[in-house]
Amino acid sequence: MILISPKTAENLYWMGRYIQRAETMTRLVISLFDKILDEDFDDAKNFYARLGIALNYDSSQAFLRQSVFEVEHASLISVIHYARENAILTRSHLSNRMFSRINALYLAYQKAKEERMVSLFWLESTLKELDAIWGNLELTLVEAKESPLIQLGKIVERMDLNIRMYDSIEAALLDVEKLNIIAEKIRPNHKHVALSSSNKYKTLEKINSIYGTLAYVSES
Amino acid sequence: MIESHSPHYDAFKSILNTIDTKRVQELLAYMNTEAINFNLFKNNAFIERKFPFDIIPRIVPPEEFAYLEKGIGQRIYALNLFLEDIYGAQKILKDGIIPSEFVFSSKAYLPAFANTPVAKNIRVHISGIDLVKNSVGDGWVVLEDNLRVPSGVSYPLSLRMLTRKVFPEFFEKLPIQSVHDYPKHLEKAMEYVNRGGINVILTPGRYNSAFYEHSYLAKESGAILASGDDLVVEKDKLYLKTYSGKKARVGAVYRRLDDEALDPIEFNPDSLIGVSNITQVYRSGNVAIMNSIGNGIADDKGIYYFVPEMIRYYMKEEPILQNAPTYLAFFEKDRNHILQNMRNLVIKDVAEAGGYGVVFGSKLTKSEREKLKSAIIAEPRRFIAQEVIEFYDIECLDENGTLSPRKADLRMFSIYGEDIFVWPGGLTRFAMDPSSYIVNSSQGGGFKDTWILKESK
Repeated sequence: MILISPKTAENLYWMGRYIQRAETMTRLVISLFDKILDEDFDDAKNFYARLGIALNYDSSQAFLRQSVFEVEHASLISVIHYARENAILTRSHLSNRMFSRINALYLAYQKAKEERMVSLFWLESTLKELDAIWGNLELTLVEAKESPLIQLGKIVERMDLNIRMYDSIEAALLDVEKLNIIAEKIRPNHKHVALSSSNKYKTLEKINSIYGTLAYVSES
Repeated sequence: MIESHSPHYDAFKSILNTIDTKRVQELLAYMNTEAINFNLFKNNAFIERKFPFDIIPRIVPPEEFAYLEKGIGQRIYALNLFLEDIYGAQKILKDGIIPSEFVFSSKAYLPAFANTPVAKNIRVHISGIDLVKNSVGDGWVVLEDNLRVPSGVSYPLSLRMLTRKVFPEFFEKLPIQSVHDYPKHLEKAMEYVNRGGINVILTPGRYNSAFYEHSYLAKESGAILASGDDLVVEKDKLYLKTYSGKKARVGAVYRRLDDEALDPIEFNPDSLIGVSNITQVYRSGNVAIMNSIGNGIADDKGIYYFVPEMIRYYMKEEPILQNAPTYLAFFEKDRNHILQNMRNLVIKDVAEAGGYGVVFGSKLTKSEREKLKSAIIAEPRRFIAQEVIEFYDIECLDENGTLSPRKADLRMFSIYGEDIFVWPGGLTRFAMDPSSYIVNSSQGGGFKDTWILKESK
């Protein structure tokens, strides 16, 4: 029997989701930054508006500050904060290295926010850090009981964001096979997940309910 | 007053003088990255806070540790016998060694748990004894016995691990005892009393000041870290719920919450962090709870007064460690002494902990003194008074790299399993304010590691 409580399992899953969200958002901010400079100054405003977020930058640097530090609940620092909160709650299940990398990333962001320091170079180094965090998961938690829960969060988030941000159900569908392999580790003999490309919102709903079909969800 | 320099401390300093103290920053960075926090609640707000630390350790020579080890072992053994007796035959009361009324009037005495046997007759599984070294007479004095949920062991343990990485010189050149096996001893003690099933550390949750410690001890001892809603009672047995839907039987719980919060059915119905009916499982003998329920009566600040008598009564031995000279307002003669000598005493409210409710008579205004006198007369059981002990300062390295003396105590931890293990380390807490005697972590105090030496040099 795998000795992980429902609440801890959820925290591991959400940690995976938030780390993935941080990665996707970092890539997004980098690409929008490029577009602001090279193509359309308002591109990032338009993109964030589609997500229901209003940006009002007047320079590329202001865009970086807003997207990285200031947008409530959706800034990069808040996403990393949520990843860290879940890491704190599941710390006894994580390798020391994995925990300290996540924590160090958050502390670095906190310091940068205080100093109002952000740059493209900084974001690129964030990607390297996130790669290292995923690498830690692969290297130190191989076959560990926690690993599939984190990986499930990662893949669900990637599928979700591919649809939500890029309107690409097709890209999400590419991950279904991988999703089923991970799901099998969490709940052997589970009913395989099948997704169709017909309806964006139904697909999103199905993707986001997968966790609840595999694990008991805590009542609190 | 700073303790006169020992050869060990001089050896430490000569090494310290050769190293670049900027490396302290490296240590600090490690501590930050590892999030070694002792959080605070101030004005109802949660403050995530690094536990301030100082790199200069308290150094304890081996012969001094041997003395402390023996004294603490004796004290824990007697306190455990006291608890067995108080929740059993109550011989110590019947023989008049401690006034029954004094015990029965304590909120920490839980008659509902009388005659509830505990696994292997051990009730004081994990203890933290607070001591200071008196500059008058140069001897160790016990200030408090913490037998409920003493916290702090993980901080010097973590600091030690990191100090070894940053300043290996000290560990190459000084014969410092290893402290790493504390979690192993904890695991062994949990196994020893386990009633069948897994070991669990029960935490109040992420917003508890010592959540870092709970998480650390779970990881290092192999126990599962759980909060109240992770556990469930079914048919007089305790289980950990798992995400697969299956339940794992729990045989031992190292709980890091007070009795009051442990079981909303038995104690505070408003507790959201306890486990309903866990006390029923405990009564049925199906789970070991560490520390046992009702231990508060043994570390009541008033009962402290009687510990030397307990040792004589149960063990027929003279106490090795001394108490601070204490007066019980409960006794008329002592009460009169307190009322007449308040300026020279420290008055403590027995219901408080963590440095709260501690008042230095010399620092009170006349009206405050009068108010306190009235409170003592109205509720004598609530107060004790102690002579002010001029305990030694310890040097701390301040931000400018200069040494500054601070009042410091020592919390020594022990684990009672098959034997009593006194950990060859300790949490040395120091006052952040150079003029303060209050060292408690919950009052913003800092900490140091405690190095027990293997041999004299």
